[in-house]
Amino acid sequence: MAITLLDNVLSPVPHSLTANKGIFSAAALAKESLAKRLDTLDGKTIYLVDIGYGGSYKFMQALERWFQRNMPSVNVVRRRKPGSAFMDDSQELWEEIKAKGHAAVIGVAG
Amino acid sequence: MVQEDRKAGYVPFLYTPHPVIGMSDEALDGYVVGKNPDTGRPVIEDIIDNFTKPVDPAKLKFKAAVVEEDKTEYLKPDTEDNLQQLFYEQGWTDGLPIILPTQERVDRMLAATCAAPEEIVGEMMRFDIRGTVQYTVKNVATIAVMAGAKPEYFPVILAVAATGLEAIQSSTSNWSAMLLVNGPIRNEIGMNSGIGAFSPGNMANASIGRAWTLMSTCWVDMRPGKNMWSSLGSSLNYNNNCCAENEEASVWEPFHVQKGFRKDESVVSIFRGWVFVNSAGSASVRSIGEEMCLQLSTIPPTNGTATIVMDPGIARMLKENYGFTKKEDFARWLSENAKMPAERFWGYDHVDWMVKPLALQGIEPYASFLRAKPDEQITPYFDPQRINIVVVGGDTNPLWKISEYGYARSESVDKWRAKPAETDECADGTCGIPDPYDPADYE
Repeated sequence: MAITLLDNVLSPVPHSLTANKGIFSAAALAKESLAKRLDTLDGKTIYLVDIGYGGSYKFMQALERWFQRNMPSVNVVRRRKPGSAFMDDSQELWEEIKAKGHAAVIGVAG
Repeated sequence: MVQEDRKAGYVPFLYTPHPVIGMSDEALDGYVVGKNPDTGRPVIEDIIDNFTKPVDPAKLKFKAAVVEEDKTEYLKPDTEDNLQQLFYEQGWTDGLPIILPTQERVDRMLAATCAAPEEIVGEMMRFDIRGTVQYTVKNVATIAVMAGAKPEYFPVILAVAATGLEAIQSSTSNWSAMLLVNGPIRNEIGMNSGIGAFSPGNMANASIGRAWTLMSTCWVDMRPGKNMWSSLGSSLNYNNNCCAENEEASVWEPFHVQKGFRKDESVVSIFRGWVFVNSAGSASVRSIGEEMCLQLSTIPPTNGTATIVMDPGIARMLKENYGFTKKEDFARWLSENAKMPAERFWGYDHVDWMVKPLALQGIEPYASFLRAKPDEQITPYFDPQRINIVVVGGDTNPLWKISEYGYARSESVDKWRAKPAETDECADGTCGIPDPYDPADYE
């Protein structure tokens, strides 16, 4: 049986990929826009912010336990983010962290 | 550090072991000291380093994958078997063989629309590049050929593509969807809205629904472990519950008319969610409403949405025996009578993390639900406009399917047609069912 070569099969992949456009788009970031790092965590207040995604509060509890056992000089404040996991935040918690916190861990998804 | 710099808007990202949800305290203690899958270092060490050491700017935002754009329109000439294997290996399939999109086949598809081949139809989000993918009429035609669609189905497939919605989503959860067709085109192309409308056997239902999934796999690489992370996945994605509403047998207004379209307009509508279940029996002991409320009380009502697909016989009984003259009347009744204890509602994971924030902000009725005693009955489907009712089926048994799917959007098919719609009446919604005694129906 003769083998026929098909020479006119189209690729199904569109040619217009647009990187970094969409819900994850972000402006180019300057290194200096980050806040200054801490010299030490001793005596500092760290906020552990649970974003509300399933299980994230339990992860923050685990992180809190680690600090209590291993770095008891760190003052840990565990809070739940007020808005949904993805959006709709009020500013109160972020203002509180700016006023009272030295650092924050925000998470965790999944 | 945040005290000292009010501009601290960006933060470095780091990763924990996965999954987090449902893990024990002991397991999560292990995650804290376990390896960051991105760096291979203990998570807690990365956290402390991020607090106390200079941060690598590369860690300040998601790292987008770089995809080499292949500008070649045609694939390398090869045999049919080798090309089928190539499509499979590239992930350009749902796992089943596809119809190879030769230029002739794609051209025949393109002849079924008035739109130009290079016209942009829409764009979909592709997660690994943190961006979008734009697709043209020709791209959609290629997919339609691959799915096994006839050219006359093409306007429907273009309307689906124009929604910009993915059939398969990037979530780790088990998403699925329903694709509903209304209007004259259902009968023009022989869709099945009657007996076994959700079952295999009808070419239009099967290939239109399949085409939507192939858009996800070919355009935004929704393959397991690539951009699709659903833990169990969903077999419903093979054709996405693609069916037509049985408008002829329904005693109520068609779904697309409820959404503001003319009755003689052809429309696709998309519904998405997590839970889609059958009624096992009918409602000869309890009432239809009671049975549906029982089912609704045991699925997570995440957004207060529900989509109920019912046999024409159920719709007829609801109208003639219970006095629901419109779909909206029954939706309102369900919204008032589908209840569950507050404790059950707040115990659902999705409700906890998606709805509770709304309650804490004082948004009603969620704030009242949160104040309710644990055993107090609440009405989570409180908004009748979020309850969708669709009539599908062949009147062989008064059954229904119930889901918490939400209505996403509708798109007109007619703008994509090559010529104006033709009216082709179908008496009972069964004209889309192939006649087992007529070989012509299987050509």
